[in-house]
Amino acid sequence: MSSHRLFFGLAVRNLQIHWLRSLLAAIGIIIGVVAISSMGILGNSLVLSVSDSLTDVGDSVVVTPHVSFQGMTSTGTDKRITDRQLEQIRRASGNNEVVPVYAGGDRIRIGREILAASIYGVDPQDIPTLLNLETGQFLRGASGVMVGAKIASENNLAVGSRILVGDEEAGVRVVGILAERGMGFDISPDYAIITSDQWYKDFYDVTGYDQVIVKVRNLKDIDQVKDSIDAQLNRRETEVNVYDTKAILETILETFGRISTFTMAIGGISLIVAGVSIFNVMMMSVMERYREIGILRSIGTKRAEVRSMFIYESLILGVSGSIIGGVLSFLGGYAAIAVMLQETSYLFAFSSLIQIPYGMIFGVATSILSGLYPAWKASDLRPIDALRHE
Amino acid sequence: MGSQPVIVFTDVTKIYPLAAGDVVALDHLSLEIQRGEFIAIMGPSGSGKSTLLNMIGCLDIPSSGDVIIDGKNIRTMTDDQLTELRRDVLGFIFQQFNLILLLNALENVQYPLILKTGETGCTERCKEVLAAVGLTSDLWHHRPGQLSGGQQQRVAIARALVNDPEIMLCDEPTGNLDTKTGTAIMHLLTRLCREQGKTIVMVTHDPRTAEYADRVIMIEDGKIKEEA
Repeated sequence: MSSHRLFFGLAVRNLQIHWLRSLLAAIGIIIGVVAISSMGILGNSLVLSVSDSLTDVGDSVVVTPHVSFQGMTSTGTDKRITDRQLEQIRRASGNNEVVPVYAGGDRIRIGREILAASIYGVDPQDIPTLLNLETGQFLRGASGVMVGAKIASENNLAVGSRILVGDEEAGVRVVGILAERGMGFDISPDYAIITSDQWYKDFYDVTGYDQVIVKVRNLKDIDQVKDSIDAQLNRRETEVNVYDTKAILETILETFGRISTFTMAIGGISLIVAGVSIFNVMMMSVMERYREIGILRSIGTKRAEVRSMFIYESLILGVSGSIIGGVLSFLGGYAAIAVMLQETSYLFAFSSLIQIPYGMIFGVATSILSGLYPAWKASDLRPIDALRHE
Repeated sequence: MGSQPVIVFTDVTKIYPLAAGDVVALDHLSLEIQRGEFIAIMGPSGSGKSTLLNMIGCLDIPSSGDVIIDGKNIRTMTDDQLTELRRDVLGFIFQQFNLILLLNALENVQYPLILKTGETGCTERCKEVLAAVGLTSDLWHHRPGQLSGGQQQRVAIARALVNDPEIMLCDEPTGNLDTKTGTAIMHLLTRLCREQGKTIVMVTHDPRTAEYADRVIMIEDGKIKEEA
């Protein structure tokens, strides 16, 4: 135990003597740790940000008309889901709730403001199945509309406000404001107007639905429902596209997770460079100290003890660099997400903060790995050869 | 002088293979050194005297033949066992002192003792030895670069003595010292041999230094030419 203290002390003194070289090597590790941790924090914050902006609804199967692409043109873009297909979907979905939806976009006017908004037509009875109410009330009949939380807050809409829809400027009155839901894979109501299906059908003169949403009660059944709809409707030719929101959510989060890993890997490159720098410093240290190693060996220092002395040197560089790098990573991560995402609260999430110790562990591991070969080289010297070295 | 051989060379040959041809440094050399003897090894450059000293010091092993140090055959020992033998049984004094530049005088003496005992609080023993070799206490915390040649050699002798070794190996111990300091060092070594019963093997070019020894072994071309 005490001889370890002796070799640790020798390692410290040697680093102090070559302080500039040691400092530069430690700075390499600091940069590497800051790069890997900050990139990790940024990537993780990106995932959190995307997760927050997406709806957490992952319990739906969404059916849309099939659109095929042939060469440069697409066919079937005007296709809609017919009543016959809707009936088939209901049969395939068993006792799960099926909500047909009209979807489109139009120009709207709120006071003097003219803007574009998504417009959904849904059977009033089905609206509570899909959406939550913030204020006011759900639609009860064909008249009135509900509006999304963001379009309401950004345009000072309240219950009773009047909106003019389309070129005809048909007037509708707001009866309820929806709770914020985020971007969804079925519908995205935050910047939308929800009308009754009857109003939408009459106003836009359409037959057939743009999509059908199946709310699956038991998440375990989601694949079965999806397969069943697919089998019913796409038996002969592909009539509809069927996808489930859970799988899409997972795919998106997985993709962003990969982006996060990729950004960390870019940070890792700088850590590799730092490792090469430490390797270089350690090799120089070994070569400069051939004779000293010979003296140590001749007066009774074992190979393992010589090895430990050099590993302590790289460990000290790694630990000191990683601690400073860890502190700076917090600041670097803060700056990175402040600039990239304009939102710093993600920094304090556990999954973000854990990137700092990860980076520090990588920093220490890189230093030790870089010091292994020089340490082995030093301990492998024959004492007689090392003593003769000038 | 004791009667047991502490160093035994039996038909020892050391060959260094070189591109230009093999160099025979020791040629079927046999030798016995008794416990408590003071031996001087002399010979011209390249005669093999340093190889002989390195082999006694377990820094090199023979190509053939046996070298027995304190009852142990160094050819059959592992690197760690040879290192322990150097640490516990042998003490080295070099011409160029070979102190550890990172450490002060006291720490240089402490170093082998910590290796042997694992104790870092062993300063009393080290101070005793430093005082015994004549290094005044005001110099104990000086680094080697701040000491004269004679002072450095005293530290080296203290370092060699601190683990109470059976054998002390001296490679030109006065080679880098002025005459007065060299004489003082030789008196110190002689006293260690006479009073503490240390076996001293010394390589030297200087006949005046060799006069301190009980026996002088002349080596030439890797063979013992003459003993006196």
